Amino acid sequence: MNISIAAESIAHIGTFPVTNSMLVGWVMSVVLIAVGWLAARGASLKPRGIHNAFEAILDLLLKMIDGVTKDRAQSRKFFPLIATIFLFVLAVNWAGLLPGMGGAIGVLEEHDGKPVIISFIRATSADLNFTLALAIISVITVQVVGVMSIGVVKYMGKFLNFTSPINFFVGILEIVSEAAKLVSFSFRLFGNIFAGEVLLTVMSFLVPYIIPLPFLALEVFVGFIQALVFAMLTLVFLKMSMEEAHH
Amino acid sequence: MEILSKLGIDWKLLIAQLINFAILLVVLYKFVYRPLLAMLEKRETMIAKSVDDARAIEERLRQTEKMSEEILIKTRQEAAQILETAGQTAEQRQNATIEKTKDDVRQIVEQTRTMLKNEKETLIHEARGHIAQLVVSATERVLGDMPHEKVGDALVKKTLEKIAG
Repeated sequence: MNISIAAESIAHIGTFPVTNSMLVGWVMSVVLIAVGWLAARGASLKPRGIHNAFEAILDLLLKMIDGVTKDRAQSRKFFPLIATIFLFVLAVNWAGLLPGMGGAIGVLEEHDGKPVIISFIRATSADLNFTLALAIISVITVQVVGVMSIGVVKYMGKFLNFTSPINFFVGILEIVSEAAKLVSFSFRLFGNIFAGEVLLTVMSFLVPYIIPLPFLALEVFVGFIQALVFAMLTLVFLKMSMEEAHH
Repeated sequence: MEILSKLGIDWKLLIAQLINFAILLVVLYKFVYRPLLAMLEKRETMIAKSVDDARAIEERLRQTEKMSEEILIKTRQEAAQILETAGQTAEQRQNATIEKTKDDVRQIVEQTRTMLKNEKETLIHEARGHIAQLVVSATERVLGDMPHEKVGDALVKKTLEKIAG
């Protein structure tokens, strides 16, 4: 059994370490693009097969985004980011549950003098590099959308406000909360998925049959919920950034 | 910074993940979201239009039905009216014909009567002439050659008056 907070590298391209989580990320990107392309290629006014299924998911997402924005034009602007976050996080979360995770199938490596198996499969979201990258994208997009919709001066006024000591302090808190979003976004997703993997690895190590199944089902659910939470929080922050500060 | 590396954060991997996600976002947007969302919208407008169309057609159907029913009722009323008028006209015409026939008959009877009367008078007149001649000739026979024609004439007149009287 090998449990590591950091994603393990399974190969190197030059000096670039190819980690198992990175690999899963690439594979799932290709899978998503392939499925999406197949769906878009078969698109017709009478939906059928893979197009129908994919379109149903997108429609559901669009309706959910509509529920937050209450504005179809705005929903369509936010849609690509929110949908991609949801679909990709969901895909990598679930990919991490495939058989072969947790040191079942992988590369044999020496670790502190002991041979360990480094899995090919590790949920991309069980790697802080990914969750932090996604959090950075989310938070930066929020700032950009805020500036673009209410203007630089008004948006900055949320953070730097000299009208009164209380407002100034509120501004400081806003800055801190933006930074905290980075941490909370990245650690929430990482923590949930990594904990799930550890739980499943340990359970499978202790009792290989039947007993881990309920936990596996639970992790499928957690994977879905975390993808939804990340996407929805980003959406809510986007929507909030478009509103002017209330005094 | 040591804590970051202990958590597995590696700038190279972080940037690789950023780029990977960005590429995924762009590709999905261009080749999946845009066509599929356009399709969704197209279908939505089409369905809305179909529903509106169906409603309009139904409305038109209802109007047509109402109109045809109205026309039917009107036609029925007109037919009844025409029948009634026709009946009345026929009766009037019949009455008129009867009346005319009666008139004609009356006229013919009148004419016949007048004609008969005239004939009778003519006959009487002629008969009178004949009788006068007869009387004259009879008297001549009876009397023989009378010298005085005046006496003869007077006699004739007298006789005629007697006959007429």
